[in-house]
Amino acid sequence: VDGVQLPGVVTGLVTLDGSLWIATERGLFRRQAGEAHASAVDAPFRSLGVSAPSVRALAVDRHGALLIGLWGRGALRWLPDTGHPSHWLLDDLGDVPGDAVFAIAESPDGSVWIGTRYSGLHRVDAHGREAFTVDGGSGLPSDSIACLRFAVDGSLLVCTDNGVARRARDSKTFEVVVSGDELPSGLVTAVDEDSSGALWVTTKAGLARLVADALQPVVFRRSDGLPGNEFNRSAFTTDLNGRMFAGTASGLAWFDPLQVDHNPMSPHTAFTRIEIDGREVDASLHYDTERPLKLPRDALRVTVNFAALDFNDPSANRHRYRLVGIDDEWRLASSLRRATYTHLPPGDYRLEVIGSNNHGLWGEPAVLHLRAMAAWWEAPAGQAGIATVLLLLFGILPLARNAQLRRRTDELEETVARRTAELLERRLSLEEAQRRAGMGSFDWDFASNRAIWSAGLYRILGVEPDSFEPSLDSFLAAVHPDDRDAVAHRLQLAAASSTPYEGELRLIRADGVLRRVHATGGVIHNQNGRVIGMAGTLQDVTEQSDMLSALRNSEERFRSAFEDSAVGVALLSTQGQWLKVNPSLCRIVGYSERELLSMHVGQITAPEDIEGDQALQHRLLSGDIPSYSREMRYVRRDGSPVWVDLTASLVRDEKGLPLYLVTQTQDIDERKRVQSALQDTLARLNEAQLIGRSGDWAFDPGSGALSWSPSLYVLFERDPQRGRPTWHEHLACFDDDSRALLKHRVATLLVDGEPQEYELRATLPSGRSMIVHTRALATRDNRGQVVRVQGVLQDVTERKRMDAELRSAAETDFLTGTYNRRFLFDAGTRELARCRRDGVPFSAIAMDIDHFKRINDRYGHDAGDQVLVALARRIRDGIRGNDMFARLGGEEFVLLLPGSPVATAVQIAEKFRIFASDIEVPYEPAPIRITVSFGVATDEDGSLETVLKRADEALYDAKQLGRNRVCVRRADDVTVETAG
Amino acid sequence: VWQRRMSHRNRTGRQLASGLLLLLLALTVAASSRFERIGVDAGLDTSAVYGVAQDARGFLWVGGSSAGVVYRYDGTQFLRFPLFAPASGGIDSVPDSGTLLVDFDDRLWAATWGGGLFVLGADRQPLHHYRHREGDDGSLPGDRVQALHQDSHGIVWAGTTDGLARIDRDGSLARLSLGNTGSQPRVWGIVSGSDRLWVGTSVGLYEVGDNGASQHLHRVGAAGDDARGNEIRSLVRMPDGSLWVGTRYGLRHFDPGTSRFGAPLDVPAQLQVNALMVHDDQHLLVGTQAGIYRLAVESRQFVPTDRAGARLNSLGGFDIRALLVDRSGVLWAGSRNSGLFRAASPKQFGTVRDFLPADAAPTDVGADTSITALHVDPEDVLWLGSAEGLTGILPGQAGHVDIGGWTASSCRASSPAS
Repeated sequence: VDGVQLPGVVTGLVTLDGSLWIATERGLFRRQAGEAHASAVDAPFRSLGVSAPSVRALAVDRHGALLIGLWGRGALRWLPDTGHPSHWLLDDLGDVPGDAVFAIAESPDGSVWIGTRYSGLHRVDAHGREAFTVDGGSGLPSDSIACLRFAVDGSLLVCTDNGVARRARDSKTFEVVVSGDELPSGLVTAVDEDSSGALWVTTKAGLARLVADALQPVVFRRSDGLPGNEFNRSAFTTDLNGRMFAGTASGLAWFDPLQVDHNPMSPHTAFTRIEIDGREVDASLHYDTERPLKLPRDALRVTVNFAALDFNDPSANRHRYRLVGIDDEWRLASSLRRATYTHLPPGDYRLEVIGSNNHGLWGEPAVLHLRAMAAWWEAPAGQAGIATVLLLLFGILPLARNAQLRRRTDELEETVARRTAELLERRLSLEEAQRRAGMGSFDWDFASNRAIWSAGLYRILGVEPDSFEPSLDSFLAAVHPDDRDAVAHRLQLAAASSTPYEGELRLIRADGVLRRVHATGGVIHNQNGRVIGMAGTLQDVTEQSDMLSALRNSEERFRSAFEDSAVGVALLSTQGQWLKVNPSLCRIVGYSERELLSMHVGQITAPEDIEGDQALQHRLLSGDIPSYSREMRYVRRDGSPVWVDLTASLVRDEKGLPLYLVTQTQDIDERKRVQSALQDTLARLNEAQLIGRSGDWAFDPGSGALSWSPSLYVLFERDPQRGRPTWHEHLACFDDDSRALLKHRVATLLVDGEPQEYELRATLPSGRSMIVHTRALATRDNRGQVVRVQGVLQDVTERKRMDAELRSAAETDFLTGTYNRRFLFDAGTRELARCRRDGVPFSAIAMDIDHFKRINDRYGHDAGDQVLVALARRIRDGIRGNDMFARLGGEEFVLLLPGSPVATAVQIAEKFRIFASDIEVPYEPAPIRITVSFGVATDEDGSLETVLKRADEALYDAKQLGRNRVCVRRADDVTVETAG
Repeated sequence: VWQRRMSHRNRTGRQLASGLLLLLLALTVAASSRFERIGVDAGLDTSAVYGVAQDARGFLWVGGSSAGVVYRYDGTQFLRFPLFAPASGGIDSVPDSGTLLVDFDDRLWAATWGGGLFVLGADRQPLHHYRHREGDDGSLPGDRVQALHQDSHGIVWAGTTDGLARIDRDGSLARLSLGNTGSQPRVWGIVSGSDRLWVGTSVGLYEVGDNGASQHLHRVGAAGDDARGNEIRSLVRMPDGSLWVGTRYGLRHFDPGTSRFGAPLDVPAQLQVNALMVHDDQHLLVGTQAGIYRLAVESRQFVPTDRAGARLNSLGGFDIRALLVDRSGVLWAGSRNSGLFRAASPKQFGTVRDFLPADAAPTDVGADTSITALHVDPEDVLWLGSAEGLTGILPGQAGHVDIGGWTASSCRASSPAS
């Protein structure tokens, strides 16, 4: 309906005399009904000598006067148009920088209540006299007041930075209606009552409803439809229809308070994962049972994850936990929803966890019994056990020995059986090989003149094993009559001289067919070195021989092929002289034909290859091998090396004597260079992968073949000798869940073709657990078929471990149950930033037990620990919801006070100084008493470290001034001791 | 995601595709106003959800994966619990998991499509695996299990594509033949009454009493109709003993007293009804191939899901296969292609937009600016103060918070006063 431009942020609105009065950060304005503009009102501030002050609170009293709260300049009452304002709190607020009147309200009895930002609550009586200031003993949870509201019953509701308090009409003290802990944020910005009597509380982090007889407030957040969670101070009103309107940092929220539903179901909380030193244990075994979870003596850490199982808005569920026996106070869990405890001393504990639903209703605790085990030899039962075991040992040892012998016998028998089976298998495969090669073998015993023939030999001779008696005579009978004498002679010679026998001979098979066979043999000696028999092989070479002679018959054709061949071809004498070379060979080595024919092969062979080549030639000449191929280097005429692929075979005369060698030479220099570069690259890649603990694999979905990079064999601790892993073996490297994931991801990849990225966990043969990060992608052919799936994986175990360690670094100091240094710095830095944004102060108190070393020396470290625990407990009991208390180490503690100005911090420090002097730690004959020194500092736009350093400097000064006192580091770096 | 997918497709049908995209986007936005899709980001890496169940502890279980696992949800994450032993498959596809049942002893029964039926113990590791074995009457009639039901005696009934089986509390399995013919119908849904079992099958509704000795087949259409017209894909038994059955072509009521099917309901007349659930005492949730409908049982009218009363379904673009209201009152819907949906909390708070004319640009009045002061004057004008000045609006009686949503009202306090 209307819009008005104003110079500053609007902080308050009231209607009076038909006008709208507007409080802003740049003065007070009045908009008369029907006017388009608002005009500035300076009259009430003239006597203060300021114009357009920052107005922070505005109300109207029963006489039609405006009640105005100012920034830094107290409050005033002004009856419009009279020109005589009354001022209050001018002096009090001037002392604390940034202090302001944030709330002002008239009570039904005519007195005025003034709430300040830092200096608590004040009352001005009906006659305008400042009556009293509410102090610490009144039950008000904080001195920082954001709003004041009189309820229908005349009681006063006070919003503080630590919840809401109420002062009944006739009471002198305040009771906490709801503490900061129970609200989404302790920083309450406004409160109002609906027609049913329920209280609605807006905070910096959500809206809460309190019903008189309900135990817990119901909390609403953005997920319930609110425009935002951050509510602004005092921007809260109710219209004539009972609808409520609240201002948030993200716009207006409105609702009908009687129509707002909430989720009334208190959730069940479950343990979702339990880990001991990072290894998961089955959480289901510990549901609803007294059976304790046993922590082995060497266990360092137990982590319990939990979740409140309410799914309305799980992100709004909250969790609290406590370890009864160590820390009986509930702790609010972080969003990680877990509790971690380290180095628990032996004993029984009860971990209790409660969870709330999205509207802040807490359920019943879930309980986990923990038993930290003592070392077994420490327990009495263990010691009795040792004695028993020793006794038993002597009785059991002989029995055990027998059992061991039996076991070894069994093992031996098993080995023999296995070896026998292997031998049989090898014999069968040997026979198969012989059959394919047209070979047979024999074993001839001289003494009995009996021979054992392989199946192949029977086959060569064309006889049946059943109807044929193998012996030397029966063999010789089958030899061609022309060769028979020579064979017999050479066999006798071989037996007599113990030299191997080799040669070709002709056989006439049973069916009359002539076969040429190549025979080799050698003598067998007994243990005394006496020749007892002969063994050897025969190979049917009829076909080869036929082919050779056919070749000889076509020498002409051979010559033509020889001359025109693209590969180098040469004939080489058995001594290594070139007999004939073709033009291609000349081209490869850069010599003319004439030059080559006058040379020895060794002259053009690279020195490093000569030995190997000669060895092969020797084997070729001796008939060991029919031919050979090798890659080697020749030296060109210009001295440069050239890589060649050489194949050499031997040509024999009709008597089987070596004639010459035929060599074929191919220039593979280019290929070799590329190969060498590739190998070099591969080696470097492999090395890089090994260093980076990574590797790659490729899978061919068609053939099912899988290949690993060499580094993967190292990563997965697989012996490369075992050959390539199959896909199943690859899968088997991973744990169950990971295996399923991998299968699923690869299947997805095959279907979708989208690259996949995931993490897998593997348990290695050594028992080590490894987490790998993998990226897999598919290669397709031009028809879109996946022809290859490739993956790169990297061992990220160490990184994960470090991440996890960082994350799970316990937040709490084990001894005292306070926060630890790390958490303090993390959370404190965040809190400091938040205070700056909200424009609220931030103070820190450093404290240190006086003469703590003496306590340790005199009463022992256990007593010292008890002192630390007692002090920590005393202080923890006394702090407010938003304060952060931490032990930095030794006897040093720090308390961070978000929202508290230095004056409040000093009061708190002084309170704790007195608390500390009351502590008595039982000790005989007299209890231990302590004193503590305190240093206070407040944020001056520095870092958290700076604040702490300044607090520490103040602490140092407190020590120097004689201990057991509170010192403050002022902004001008002067330390002041406060009145104790 | 859609845009990315599109870029992989050929570009010839691009215009058509972008039109489709807009349509889908519109559908998705419409759906997401009440439902939140829970997908891969939360760890649920399956797009098919055929079963949702909640165990005694409160964990939510989801079946439907093609990776042979069931998922456990704790509000934060989905954990995978494999059904099949790792050795049982390489890269080959593993049978889908499907419908789920939590029995009286808090054991989880997980049906699979092709891999039989699993029973998971307290630790949620497979305890039993029922399979089909040719010629063995003590085995499942088929390996494709698509219906599970536990009756009041604790007997678990498993419906497969090849007939029905009963599994007694001692774990023993027996087949129950439906009809006289040898070939067994496909079973889609099972419910039990006090003394009889109702089995929704591909040939109609079987009424089974006396452990199978008495059987009666109720056909939806007259004999000779389109065979699929008799297909009963889902069924639910109402407190009064009558049944609602979801058929291939819509929703029908069945009165056991008269053994008659009611007339087909107008909407969704031709829709395949895959899932049925009694929502509160007065409503029936109907999961169809085109979203979820809500039927007021008494009036047999579908309840509109928008304020204007124009739309009768939610999640209209999705083929719904499973429905569950969990113990915290949240409605879950499993879909065939688009994963799992959670009904969003009802909206109970309004914003300044509720007071603006439909054509007003919210930025004109700073709808999202930080409101630092509020005041209702005697003329009922609501004044909003901010850093930008002052705005007055007249909320009057107009504007109300749309508190619609899939809350189970029986589980909720209706007002703070109550």
